[in-house]
Amino acid sequence: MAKETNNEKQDFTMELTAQAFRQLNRLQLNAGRYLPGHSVGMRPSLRRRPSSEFKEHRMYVTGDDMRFVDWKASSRSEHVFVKLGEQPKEATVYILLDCSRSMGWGEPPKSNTALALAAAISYLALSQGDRLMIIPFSEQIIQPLGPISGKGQFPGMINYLKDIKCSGATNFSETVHTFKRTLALYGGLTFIISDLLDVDDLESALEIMPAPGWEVAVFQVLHPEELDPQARGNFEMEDCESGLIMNYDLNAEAVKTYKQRINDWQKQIDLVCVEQNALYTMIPTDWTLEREIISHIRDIQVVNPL
Amino acid sequence: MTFNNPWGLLGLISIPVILALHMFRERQNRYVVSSLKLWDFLEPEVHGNKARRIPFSWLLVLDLLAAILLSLAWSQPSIDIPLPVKSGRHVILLMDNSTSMLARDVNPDRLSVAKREASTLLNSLGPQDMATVITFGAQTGIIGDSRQDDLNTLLETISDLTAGGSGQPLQEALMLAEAVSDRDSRPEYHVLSDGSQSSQLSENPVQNIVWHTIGISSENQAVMDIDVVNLSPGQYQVYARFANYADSGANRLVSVVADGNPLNSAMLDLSPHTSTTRVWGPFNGEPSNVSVTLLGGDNLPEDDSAASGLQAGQTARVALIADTAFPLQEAIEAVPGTELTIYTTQNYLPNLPADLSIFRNTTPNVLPAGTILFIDPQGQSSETVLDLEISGSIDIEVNALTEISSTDALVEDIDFNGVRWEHIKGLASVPETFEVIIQIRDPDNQTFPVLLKDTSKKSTVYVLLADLQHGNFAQHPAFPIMIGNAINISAYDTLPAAIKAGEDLALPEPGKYRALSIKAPKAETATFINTWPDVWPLNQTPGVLEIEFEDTAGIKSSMAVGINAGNPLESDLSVSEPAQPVEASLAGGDVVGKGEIVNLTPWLLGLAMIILFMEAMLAWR
Repeated sequence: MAKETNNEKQDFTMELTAQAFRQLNRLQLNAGRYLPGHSVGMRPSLRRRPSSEFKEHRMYVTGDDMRFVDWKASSRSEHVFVKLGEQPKEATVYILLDCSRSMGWGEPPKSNTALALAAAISYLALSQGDRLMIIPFSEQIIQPLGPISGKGQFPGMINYLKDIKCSGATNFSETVHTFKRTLALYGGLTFIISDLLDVDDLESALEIMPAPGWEVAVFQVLHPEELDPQARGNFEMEDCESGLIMNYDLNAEAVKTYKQRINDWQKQIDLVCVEQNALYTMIPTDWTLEREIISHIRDIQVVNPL
Repeated sequence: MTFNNPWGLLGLISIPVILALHMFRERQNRYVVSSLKLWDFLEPEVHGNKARRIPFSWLLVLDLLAAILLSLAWSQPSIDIPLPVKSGRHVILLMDNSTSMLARDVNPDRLSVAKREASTLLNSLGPQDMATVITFGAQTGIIGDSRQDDLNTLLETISDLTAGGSGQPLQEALMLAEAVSDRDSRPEYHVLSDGSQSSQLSENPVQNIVWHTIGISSENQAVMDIDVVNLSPGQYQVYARFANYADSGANRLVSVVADGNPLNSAMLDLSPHTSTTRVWGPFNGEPSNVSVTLLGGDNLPEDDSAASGLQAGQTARVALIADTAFPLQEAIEAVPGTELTIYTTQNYLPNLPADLSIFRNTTPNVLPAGTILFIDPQGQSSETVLDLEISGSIDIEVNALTEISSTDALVEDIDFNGVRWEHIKGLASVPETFEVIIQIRDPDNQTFPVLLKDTSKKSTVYVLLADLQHGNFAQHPAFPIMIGNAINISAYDTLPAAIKAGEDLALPEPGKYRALSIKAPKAETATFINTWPDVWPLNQTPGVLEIEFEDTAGIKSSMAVGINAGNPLESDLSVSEPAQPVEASLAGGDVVGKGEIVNLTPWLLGLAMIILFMEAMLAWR
């Protein structure tokens, strides 16, 4: 039977093994070129600039660098043409990390897996020169990190994740709207890591992050005990977030019905995500980063090989 | 329902403890989940915090039941199941037959009035009623019961009832009455008494007592005690104690009589509620009995006279058959009250009367009657009379020890330390019919019998194998004491000088005497040949009990025993109020029959065990 850890912090960095980093070093986050980017980065974009790498021509205007004039093409025409190439850009990666009390439930807690997953994504983002923002939330946003970029920010980011504690209830809709209104003005690659418990308005939350400016991936982290409860008997059941106590008789029929409901619930979330052009996947907490999680996110093309 | 151990109910304290434990256990059964929304499809049993309410479960119910049953069992409850009561009564008459019931303060006397009331009660019995008559005071016992005898027999028994005696309190009679009462009927206990015995009632073992107080308080004087002291042979003195149970003084003439002959008379001035002692004598003579009588008469003449026998002066006849009387003669004559006759072996005849016959260095052809002591018996003749095979003389070492191997009256209170025997007769073997009383143990741990007792003869036969001429036994203090013991063994049994009215008189065992005749006051002489009872009962009438023994030699001896009624409890004729109040009326009343008391403890324990077993089965499931 899984137990609530009461915010007892366990070190998620145990998941960040050398093997995991070796795997991550061969991967990159999969992001579309339509994502907005402000600075020069490493991702392809629709922007053009005078460059030796040819993509197209445009007429010379005063001030253009003479080094990029295509003299051969200009000799065949009465105009002077300048060679334009693709200007790579950065992408902004947002990680919305659920830090509600329910994420601290389980043995080990679900937050361990969530933080490890967040750390892996952050590592990929920082490695590729993307701007990274980590936005922890429960009832509201809790001291976000970023935007940061560059691999040198990784240790600080890890320390930041270590200090995150799971507390409070979940107010997902309010959190997403606040995030969109105050932190994310230009869209980007967004990862939502949550158990999605007590999230009733996922659809409305995803609606405010439309494609192609936003690419959203929803990772639902669940404990195996939540998927297949082993407890049987008459229990005084307590909601770890609200403290509500109900008395239920967990017989075999009840557990069977519960599992069916969990399955239906996941299908419903998947359907919502498909409708909103978001990616949905479920990550059990008994998965490890190096064995299951990295290979899984590669399979669903959240990441691509370099 | 009654609880024999009310403290056992403290076990009910376990009930809140059990409830608390169940609530704690329920709290322990809490299951924290990440979200209850996933489970909201289930029907909740109870909302809210269950710790605030008592969690119902069959286990809890069984726990509470087991605790209650065990607590009740610990308190040892019992219930009195009333049995159906028969319509009949069981009238139990407790009749006082002590001396005070002979008082004439009512006409004709208290006992007659009690008999009349008892007869009235018995005549009022219905066809389904029962009656039992029990006496107390002089003797406690059932003298009649309608369950065994018819009513006329009961009435005759009551009519023949006599009084006299004391010392049997009402308490014992009530306990006897409670024991014989018919449990299916309504018992009624009727006490017919003047209260002399009921005043000592410390605890009332029964209920429904109806008191019938007989008599009226009246004055009385009594001779409480008498003692006749022999000052010297042929001279005696008489002591008597008198009591006056009256609110005023009394002058009574006292007469002292010996064997019916007046010795003295004097006026006695008795102060109210006091006792006084008078002494008369010394008188010369050896009467068989002396009596002191208050003349003039009062309401209880039975205690106005007291008598005492004079048993002292009985002589023990000792026959010494020896050619050399020393030192036996000196030892025998040193015992007072001994009549010694010395015979030689030639002039001794076996049929000469003697209580003790001592044979020294000789044995008769026929054993005489009475006690016989053989000292240093000789060879061949002893083999025929004593069945002893004497093998010769044995020299005893100086440091040999003398051991008393069997307790006997002959060696009682004798210390044989320091006795040197030197020569004793040796025996080839000790026959089974002989008991070794004294034996000698030499340094080699070898034992030699020295004093034996033949248990097979009708006469008491002792054999001393030691020679009085050698050793120091004849000079040792043990020798005269042993001779004295032999004389005491052979002497006549003595009787008490006086007994209280109602007491039994212990008689000597047959064997030493051939015949016995007893003349009780106001009664015919009873004669017994060879056998008679151990005790002489029914000494209710005050006076002199004249007893005559005839021994096996045909010699008669007379004794007298005084039967005296004077007793502080009986001579005080003031009528006592019943110690316990009257608790029931004669007729009817709401009398509840005694029920059967059922002990519930084993039932409760059994039930608790079953519940615990069920609980174990439930828990196992």
